Amino acid sequence: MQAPGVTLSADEVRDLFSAYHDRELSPERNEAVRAALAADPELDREYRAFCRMLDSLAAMAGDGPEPTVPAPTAAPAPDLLAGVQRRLHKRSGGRFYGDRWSRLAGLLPLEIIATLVLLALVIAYFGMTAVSPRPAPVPGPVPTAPR
Amino acid sequence: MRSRGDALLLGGTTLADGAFDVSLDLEAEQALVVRLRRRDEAAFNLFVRAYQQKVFSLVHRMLGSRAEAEDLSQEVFITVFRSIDSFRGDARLGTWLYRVAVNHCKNRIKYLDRRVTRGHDGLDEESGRALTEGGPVMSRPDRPDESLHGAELGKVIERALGLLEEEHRTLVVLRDLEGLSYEEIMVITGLAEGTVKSRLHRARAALREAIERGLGCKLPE
Repeated sequence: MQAPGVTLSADEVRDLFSAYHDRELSPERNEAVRAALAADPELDREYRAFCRMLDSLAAMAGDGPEPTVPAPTAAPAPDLLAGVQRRLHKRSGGRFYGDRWSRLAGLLPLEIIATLVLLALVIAYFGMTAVSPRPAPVPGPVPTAPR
Repeated sequence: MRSRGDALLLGGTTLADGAFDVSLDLEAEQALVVRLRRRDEAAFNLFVRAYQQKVFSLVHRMLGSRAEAEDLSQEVFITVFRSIDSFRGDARLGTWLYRVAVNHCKNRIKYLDRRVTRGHDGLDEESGRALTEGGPVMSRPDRPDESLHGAELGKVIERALGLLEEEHRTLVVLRDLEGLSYEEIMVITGLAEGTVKSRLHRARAALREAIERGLGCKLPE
């Protein structure tokens, strides 16, 4: 069942597993590999095991056909920004990310910062206006002019 | 909540809040690069947030250790901040970032190899020795395919991946885990197309051998 003009040994076919899987072979070689696999059940079994391994890798990456395979290396990233900012601030001698506000701006959405500032202003306003008025001074004795 | 400000920053491209799988169109990417070259801290903040998942994922897969990956990912972004001027725009920004990350990983792996402290999170001493010496990681199953499900398969693959040579591991991670094209891998590794293909083939074969050593049997179909 070899394709006309191209005959491959079992070892040659094994060497082409990767390219065959990725559809990187010329049509002639592709057909030769396909025919060789069809003619040799043991070789075909090896190829399917090879594909199984690649499917498992794809599943680990999260886009494969086997969602039951966990992805231990595809852990969610920690928030790296604060660490990056600290290192840049230190290594630039304070030139970058020099003040706390610019660092905070990267960590918090602007809407939250604006809300916090507004809240602080409101609290300050009510704090000032809620102070009880000072009692009116009691009038003292009227000074008399010296004679 | 950040998306509106980010969209303005990136020339109109809207990012979903909290989404790290960012794909900027070329115009938005160029706008971002211009701001990064001006060392615009707000733009850099956004850049880190947009790409940190991709970078961390790649580095974690290359190094196997979460702590090392967290440290090295930060160094990758610092390198970008410092050397963004050397980005010529021949490739996409994300591809260039991968290249920076891969180069960092190579250096870190060499460093860790020298210190003989390559501690993979999931690789305990016994299983590591078993894989290195060709012995089975797990007890040999009566039916090999029964062992190849769920967590066990993931662990065996992860361990086997950690035992590959750095060059092989890089190619398997980029192609089979990160799902990059041959063209992107060529840009990242600086290898010619034929070299990428032949080395990837050898890398996959080496991975298969490592997995079979770990299982103590042939890979089932």
